[in-house]
Amino acid sequence: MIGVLFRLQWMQLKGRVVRSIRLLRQPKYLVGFLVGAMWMGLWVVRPMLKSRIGIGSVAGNPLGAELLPVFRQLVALVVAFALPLPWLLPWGRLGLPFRESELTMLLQAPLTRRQVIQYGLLKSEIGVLISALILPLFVGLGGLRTRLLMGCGTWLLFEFWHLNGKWRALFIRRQAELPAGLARARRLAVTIGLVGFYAALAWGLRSLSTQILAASRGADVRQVAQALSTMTWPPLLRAVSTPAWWLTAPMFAGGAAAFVLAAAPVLLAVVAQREIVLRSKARFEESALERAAKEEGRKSPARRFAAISSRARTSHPFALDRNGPPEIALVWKNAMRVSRTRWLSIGYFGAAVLVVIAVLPAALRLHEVVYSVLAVIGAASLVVQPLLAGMTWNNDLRSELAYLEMVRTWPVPARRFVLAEVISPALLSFATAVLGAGIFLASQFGSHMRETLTGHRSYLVLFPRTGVVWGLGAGPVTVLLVASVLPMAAALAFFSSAAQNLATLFVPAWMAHSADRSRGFAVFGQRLLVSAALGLAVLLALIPGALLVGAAAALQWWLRVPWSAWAFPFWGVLAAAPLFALGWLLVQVAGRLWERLDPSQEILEMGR
Amino acid sequence: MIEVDGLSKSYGAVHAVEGLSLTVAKGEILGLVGPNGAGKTTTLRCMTGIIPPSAGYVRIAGFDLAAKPLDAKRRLAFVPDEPRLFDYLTSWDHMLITSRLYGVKDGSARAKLLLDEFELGDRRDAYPSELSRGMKQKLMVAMALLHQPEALLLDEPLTGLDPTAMRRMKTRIQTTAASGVAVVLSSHMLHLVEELCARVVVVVRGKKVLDGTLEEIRQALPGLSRDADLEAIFMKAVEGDAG
Repeated sequence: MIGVLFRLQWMQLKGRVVRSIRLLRQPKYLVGFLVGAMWMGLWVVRPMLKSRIGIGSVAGNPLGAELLPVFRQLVALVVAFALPLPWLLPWGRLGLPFRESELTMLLQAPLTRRQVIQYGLLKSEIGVLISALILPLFVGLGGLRTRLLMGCGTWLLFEFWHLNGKWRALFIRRQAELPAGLARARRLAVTIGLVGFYAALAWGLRSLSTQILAASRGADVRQVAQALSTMTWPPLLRAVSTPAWWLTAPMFAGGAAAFVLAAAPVLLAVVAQREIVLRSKARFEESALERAAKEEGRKSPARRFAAISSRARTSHPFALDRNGPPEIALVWKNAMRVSRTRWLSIGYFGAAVLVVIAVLPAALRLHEVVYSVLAVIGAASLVVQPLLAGMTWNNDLRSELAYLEMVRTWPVPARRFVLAEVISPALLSFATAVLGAGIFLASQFGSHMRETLTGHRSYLVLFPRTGVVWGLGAGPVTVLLVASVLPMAAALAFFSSAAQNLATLFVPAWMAHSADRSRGFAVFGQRLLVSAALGLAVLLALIPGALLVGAAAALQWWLRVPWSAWAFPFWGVLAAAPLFALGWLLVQVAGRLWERLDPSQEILEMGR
Repeated sequence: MIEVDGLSKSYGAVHAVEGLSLTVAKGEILGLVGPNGAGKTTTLRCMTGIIPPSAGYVRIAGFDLAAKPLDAKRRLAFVPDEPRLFDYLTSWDHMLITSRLYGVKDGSARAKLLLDEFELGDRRDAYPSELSRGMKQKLMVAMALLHQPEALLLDEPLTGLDPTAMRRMKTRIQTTAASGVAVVLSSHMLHLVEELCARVVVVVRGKKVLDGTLEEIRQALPGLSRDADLEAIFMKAVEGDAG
């Protein structure tokens, strides 16, 4: 029977891999996969494999050789501390990772409890194995053989830990089924045992910490290392951390023979613990079903909306008039994907926040760094948010693809439909940028106020506070400078959102959100390509604006018109105009594509 | 009212629909039946502009769906087989946005009436995730009827409904048709099609194999008894087709 369960697990894994490979027959997935693989290879795997700080090299180094035993002992201490810690908590969720459909099938099949638990353990085994192997294989551990041995040692430790967690979960489940008196006695025994254990650990650590402190006072690293390696480990500490030392020993075994010797007792402990888990009498079925349902609910995008209070559900971002352009209605709809809060209320709240930012830190005479941090946050929102308009809010065509059967039947002209989809995230990003601008100005103002109140010189100064800059004082120049960025922020938000929506219509299968895990790696590459293309598009789109501003400045210089800060907003509008025009052009192209869109079955089945 | 002529839809070498033609008059209910994968849903999607046909044309109330899509869509309503509602909109929001996009004059009043009619009055602030399959189906139909369409296309409209709701839905489909709406009803529930539809089109492998009233079909198909029901007709029509 175990063979059948193993086969079921294997078939699931194989199915996913085969589907992933089959998807690669389609060029869109093949390209995505290759780009994703290249990126991972170049930026993740290669640098990791290149690192050569192995146990061998550490041991070969005199400093490393001295510290290695201390390091081993410290790892054992950490394990000794962390492994039993969860047992102190009388609650916890059941760790058997079943899906609802699996449980429905397994529980009605002629299987014993032992076999069902075995299947649950088998399922989580892949995760344990990968996490155990990934670290030693990729993070500097000398040659491949050493890395593999350490990987196996880590797996033994993780497996023991993993099974211990399952044992604890089933123990807690069983507590609820036992008579109250017996359950209390069991809990008391565990608690007393653990409290005794941690008391011994703390006692031993007290003495050790004194030695570590003394060692750290050494003149150089060599002296510190020497002092650490000659520390006397209190016998009590050594005793309580011995089981953990045994558990971690295979990770540090130098060669194959040493590994076998170190691994044998750990393997026995793993087998024994596995048996305890498999023999558990806890009725896990109900909690497993409950957990599976919860997990599936957690993954559902609808979860966060169901949590909205009944009062908030009647609220809308703005009142939807009976008549008017369809774009307004679509923006109204898309805004609710982000929040139902009235925009007017958000505006009032934002204004109040700005007043608080400007006044409170100064009134409380907080350190200048508060205003500096706020100014950086504000400036970052002002600049970065418009660039990420399409990616942040998730309320444009990318999410609309899941509702194609409804939205394609709406009598809305294609270009106006796309325009609304572009405007929805752009508006929210621009609003965030305006708030960022407000935070930046409020922190400037607050910093100035703090200087007046405390007499401490403020270093958050863009322009000299005395004298005239470009025909105006420092305050108005700062305001005009920020005001000149706002048209650019609006244009950037519009353009980047338009570019993303156009990309969605060019390569819908690349852009749509999908729960299909077999697409994972290819999708990573696809997203990488699209992000690079979008970044390049934004960069290129900035050029006409820059040229226009340059030309205007050159003309001003040639005509000998004096420089004035009043020109800043004009330059901002000048730089923004080509971006708006290009964004508009993208909307027109995207409108044509929307009109002609022939969605694949894959897109039509999304969200079902 | 609904005219489909030579409609074809191909995906590479696969022909999902091939040269399908049909007409539905005002007030008529046409049943569209066929085995799984016959191309019914693809036909309905082409008829509503969700996917463009490879060939042929669709006219709704005299407006060519390709040439005058807005005029055609304003007169059309579609209820898909799987009710896919916006996760982030309540029932009432769905009615509001539909009313606004179709320019329904007395939108709020009609929305309220329809929600009450479909027993969703007390669920107006519920999100789709809080509605049962049947409730979602009812909401989709309520949205479809909000702008008083001239052509109504229903794909498995009774799935998930309880017997009472089924009865009500059937009556509603009949009264809607009686008010002059051309209805296309695609379903595997042959007894429902038989009960509601004046005319039936049987589609097999993307091609229309039968079109007519039950009586006409009985006469056209050799080897059928005079009182053969739609199920018998269907089985005869798809004979030799593995489905």
